[in-house]
Amino acid sequence: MVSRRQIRADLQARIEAIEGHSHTLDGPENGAFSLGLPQLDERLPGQGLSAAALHEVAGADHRDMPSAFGFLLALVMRRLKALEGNGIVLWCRQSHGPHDFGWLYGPGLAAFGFVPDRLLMVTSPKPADVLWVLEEALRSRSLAAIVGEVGPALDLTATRRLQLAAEAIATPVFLLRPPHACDASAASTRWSIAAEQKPVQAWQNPRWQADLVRCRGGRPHHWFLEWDHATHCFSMAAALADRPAQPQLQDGLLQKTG
Amino acid sequence: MRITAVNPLAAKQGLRIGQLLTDARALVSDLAVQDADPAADEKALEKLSRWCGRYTPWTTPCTEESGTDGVFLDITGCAHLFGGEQALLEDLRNRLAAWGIRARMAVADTAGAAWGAARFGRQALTVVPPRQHRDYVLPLPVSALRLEPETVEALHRMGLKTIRDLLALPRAPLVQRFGRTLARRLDQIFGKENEPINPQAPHVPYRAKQVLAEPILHTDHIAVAIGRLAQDLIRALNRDGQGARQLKLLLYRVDGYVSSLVVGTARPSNDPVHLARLFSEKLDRLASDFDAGFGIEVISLEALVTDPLPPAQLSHQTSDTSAGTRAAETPEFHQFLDRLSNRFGVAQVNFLEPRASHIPERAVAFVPAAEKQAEGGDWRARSYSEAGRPVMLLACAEPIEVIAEVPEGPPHRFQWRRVTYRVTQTTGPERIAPEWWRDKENANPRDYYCLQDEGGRRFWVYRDGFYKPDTPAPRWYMHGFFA
Repeated sequence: MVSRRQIRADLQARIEAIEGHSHTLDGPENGAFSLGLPQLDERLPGQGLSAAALHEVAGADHRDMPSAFGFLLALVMRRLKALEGNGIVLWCRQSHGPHDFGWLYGPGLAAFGFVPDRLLMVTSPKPADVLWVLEEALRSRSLAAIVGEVGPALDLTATRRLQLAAEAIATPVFLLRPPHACDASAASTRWSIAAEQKPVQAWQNPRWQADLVRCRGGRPHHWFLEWDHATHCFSMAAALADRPAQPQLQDGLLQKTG
Repeated sequence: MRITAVNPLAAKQGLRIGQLLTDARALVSDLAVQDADPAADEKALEKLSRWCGRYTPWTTPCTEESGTDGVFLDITGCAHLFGGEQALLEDLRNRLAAWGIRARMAVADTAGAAWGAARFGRQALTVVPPRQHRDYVLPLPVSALRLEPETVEALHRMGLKTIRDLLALPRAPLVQRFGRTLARRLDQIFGKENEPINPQAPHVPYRAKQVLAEPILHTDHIAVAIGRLAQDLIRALNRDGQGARQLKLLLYRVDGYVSSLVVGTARPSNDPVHLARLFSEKLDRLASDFDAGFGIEVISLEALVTDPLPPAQLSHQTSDTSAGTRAAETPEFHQFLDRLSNRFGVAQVNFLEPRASHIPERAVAFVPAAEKQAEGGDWRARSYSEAGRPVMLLACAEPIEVIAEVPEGPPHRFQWRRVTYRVTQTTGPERIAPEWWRDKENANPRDYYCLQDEGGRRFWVYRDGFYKPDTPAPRWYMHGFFA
């Protein structure tokens, strides 16, 4: 007599085979990289973020796009850490793109814990060219991670192509999406990021409300995360106590340079 | 031994070209003599002719038959750029004089007339007015026709001294007696026969060319032809151990129009497939703009810039995507960079490099990936690492409306891009003084604040200058965003 549990496992395996994504292949040795926080990893299929997949990160609100930038950067840094710091990260955006918060700033990246030398920045004139760059970057097989800033209009075919290419070449592709882009997408995971209040004492470490909106082979979940730029690790943050906001000027920070 | 050239001083002593050296020595006992070097003269003339390209691209040294002591310039449509024909000649004379070259020069409607006027005109600088070259050359001696010395001598023996004398004679007996050349020279000097100037082509060491049996129209077919040419070209390059850095493709259309495409590579490359793809991608991008007319009949591929190819280790491994081999030095990565740079332009594909400056926007430079050499500088060594810098920086700081509790204090509330933000926490200010060696004298120091709004978003803003009595309040600017 076959047990119910076994039937369910069989069916699940068949569905996964149809989806072209077998979790039994995933795992630390097969491309999934740990996010450095057990509470995060255990919610993701393969005990980490799949390196052979397409991931989308969006801001919860237009004003949260810099936070989404930061979170995406943190994911990329986890990937680099899994590669022991080797490799180049391609960051492609459209000139006059949808997220006009300026370009990535080298000294700021260094303060965030990212080595700016590892960053190859490409500006393409048209939205369609961003997709071309991402696909060609995958095909060159020489990059550690690939990031593209894309606008709201992105169809299922385009994301499906990227997802398949990322699977074949085992390189993660991250898309930075505008908020509320709820069109169909073939991405493995989609994250929605909102900024969160930071205490002045730990001013350097960003805090985010990270929402895993969808996850293939996993369930949506919500975390309150803090990023440590020194150790390149996420940690669970505790919410600040409820008290009136106090604008304050820190003494002794006035420094003169130049 | 005969004299081939004399300087003005020697000419004054009565020496002339063609004289026997012994005769000359008899006239001037302390004569300084140098061996003639016709090959070096020719080279120098060629160099001079190339230099004359500053006036017009159509320049050529005089050929064998027109004497090896001059340069032809076709200045049609170029003279006005230098203030007219007279001014052009004067400019040319002055520049040559600065090098110690004395020159006679003339402008005329035909190359033949100019040749004659330069050598037999009364002044060193002659401008024959338009359509008057006929009248001008009539009194010139027959030598002005660029003839063999024997022909000139024969004409002289018959008492024909000037061009006017020749014109008076019937043409057929002249040709019979002195050959076709004389008649042709006469036609050329009066402009009855066209005499184009063949410009010197720039030296292209590596070139592959294909003449097609049938004109081709489709970009696909052109791409195939490019692939074949690239293989031919690379074969020639490989012989010399060179790799292509810059290539030029010339497509000759049936109707005489030539279109050209140029691609560059970051590193010398000898991969024909890669190079051919750079071109076919450019062609694809032109797509509708590309006009093959009635077809392309000749395709030529030239290597404009080449560099020695570094010796390469032939790898027995296939390209591996495992973690260890993701170094940036793989040929695939450089080919990818080439394709990006050729598609979007070199300036659109960048690495970041630190620069020694306290002004935030000057502390970083975008270095084209094609020009990046080694690992960049040290980002950590700078003072900003502890001061806190935003992850994103606006290319241009944007003005914001600010409400502060005290004028000198940090903002309490601000408006940026028509959205109002309430500030809950602030750090700063960090004062950054202008760089006196680069900025204008009245540049203001900036006070940078990091602001956090109710939602936890952090902004980097600055106040440009101080609050001072009797001056307008300083402006505030949004400059960057923290993650």
